[in-house]
Amino acid sequence: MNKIVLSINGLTKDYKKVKALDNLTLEIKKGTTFGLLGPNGSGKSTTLGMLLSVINPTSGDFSWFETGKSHKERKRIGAILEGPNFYENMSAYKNLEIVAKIKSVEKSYINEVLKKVNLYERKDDKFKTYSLGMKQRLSIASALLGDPEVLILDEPTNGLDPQGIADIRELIIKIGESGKTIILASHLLDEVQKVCSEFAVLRKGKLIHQGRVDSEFSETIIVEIGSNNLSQLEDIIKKNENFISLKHSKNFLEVKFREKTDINSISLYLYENKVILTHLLTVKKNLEHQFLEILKEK
Amino acid sequence: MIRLLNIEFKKLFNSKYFWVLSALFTLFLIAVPIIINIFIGEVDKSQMTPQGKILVQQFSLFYFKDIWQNLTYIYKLGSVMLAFIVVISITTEYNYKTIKQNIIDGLSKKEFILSKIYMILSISIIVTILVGIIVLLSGFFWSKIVDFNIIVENIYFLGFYFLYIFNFLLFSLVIGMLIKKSGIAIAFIIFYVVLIEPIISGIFTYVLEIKWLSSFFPVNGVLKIIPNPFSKVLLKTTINSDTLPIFVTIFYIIFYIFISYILIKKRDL
Repeated sequence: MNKIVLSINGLTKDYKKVKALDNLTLEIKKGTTFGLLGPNGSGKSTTLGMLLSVINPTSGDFSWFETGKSHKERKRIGAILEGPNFYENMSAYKNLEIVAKIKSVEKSYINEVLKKVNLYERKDDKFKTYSLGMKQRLSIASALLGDPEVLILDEPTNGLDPQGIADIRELIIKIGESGKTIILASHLLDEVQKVCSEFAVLRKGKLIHQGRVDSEFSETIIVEIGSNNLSQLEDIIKKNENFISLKHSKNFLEVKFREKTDINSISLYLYENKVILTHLLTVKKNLEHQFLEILKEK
Repeated sequence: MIRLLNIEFKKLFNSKYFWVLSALFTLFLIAVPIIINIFIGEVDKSQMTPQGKILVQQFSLFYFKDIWQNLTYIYKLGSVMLAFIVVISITTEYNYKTIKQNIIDGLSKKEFILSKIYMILSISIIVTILVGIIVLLSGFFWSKIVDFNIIVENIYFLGFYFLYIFNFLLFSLVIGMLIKKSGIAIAFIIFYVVLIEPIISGIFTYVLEIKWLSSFFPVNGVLKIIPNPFSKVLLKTTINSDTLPIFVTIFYIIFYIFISYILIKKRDL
């Protein structure tokens, strides 16, 4: 059994006119790379802000490491929230010295994390002289300081060039593989898909979907299948070994299969089960499309 | 406490404002007795009537025991430079969102505000010690009498000075937290001290004739902790030692600490 790193129970944040987060209940297990997905303004940063005690929840509760939510727990978490926040007139090294003092960890970690994000050569330059990409990398270095058990990254690739994005994703994947728990908030589906193992979708402060990335977004094929007896067809199709899920359309079923299968084997399978088809069509869907569909549901 | 001070002074020592303002303030502390000395020298040389010269001497600016009150009274004026240090220190945290990052990194909100209060306390203690040294040196240099009992007779003004500085810097901290923009906060503090409160207190004292009220105002009530020593000579009035300003000052110190804690606790960052 994997230990629970974070449990959220009915977490809610009301602003004057809007519900930024509405009754979120969620559990994240140790070692998961968890993606918090949603369009801008869906409540991702509000959620993370509350989990890190910079925003006071209106109601609801949460607990880190099954022990609580005080600064003692926060010291075991490395986090960046809405962009890099550092002292402009201080060098990268001095900024990290302060972080190390706050986290009560050894200074020896500083050079190590600076090397990890390729900033070691520039460590004595003032923060304000850094490019956006360097600032973003420094904030990741800061989050990594002291080898925390959990990493929280809010839009870590925002504003970066393609090379920068690739570098940071690679870094996150590497960290995830080392067994750390990562919580990644992003509005980019392919980011979550490339990096995360589990994900949840927020829309207008509501949790509207939750699942595993491999089963939902791995390369799947969607096939439209129609016959004169749809309920019989449904029963049979559900027994197929590559079946994942289905949706009802007017005259046919929209069925999602694992990638392993193809339209020939589906046709053969149905023929063997004595189903006479009126309609059979492979629908190609890109991931972005699937994501938008999840957002549309409900 | 050591850890929090360590964090706070790391931030301060890397700020050029801190060094510039500290240097200016130290310069001010040293310049005051020197300028007064030059002034007295000029009076002695001048064609002033003997009565005039006696009047100046009666100020007994550099003599124990009055020097404690005289110099600390003048030094109150310089505290605005220290207030700038505090205002810039807290507003920078808001402007660069480093306050938020500090909390995320594992400082509790209470620890954050304590680190600022400890910093203010340290500055107040250091400045008080510095003022104490300068007063002693000036006194020894000019006093005719150097009897220990007379030297230390009015040393309690140093304690008042400490309370005054500690109070005023905490006031600046709260204003900085409320306004969050360094320029506006500094302008507000100056306007409040020289304009807003005197006008309000004038209205209460002279228009509404509620004379006692201004003794409880956050600036006026606290300023009285070191009363004007020169009115004693000029107006020939005796200063009755009033303990009210001490209580008012201590009240506001507790009040500001409480308010700053509530502000950081209740607000989203």
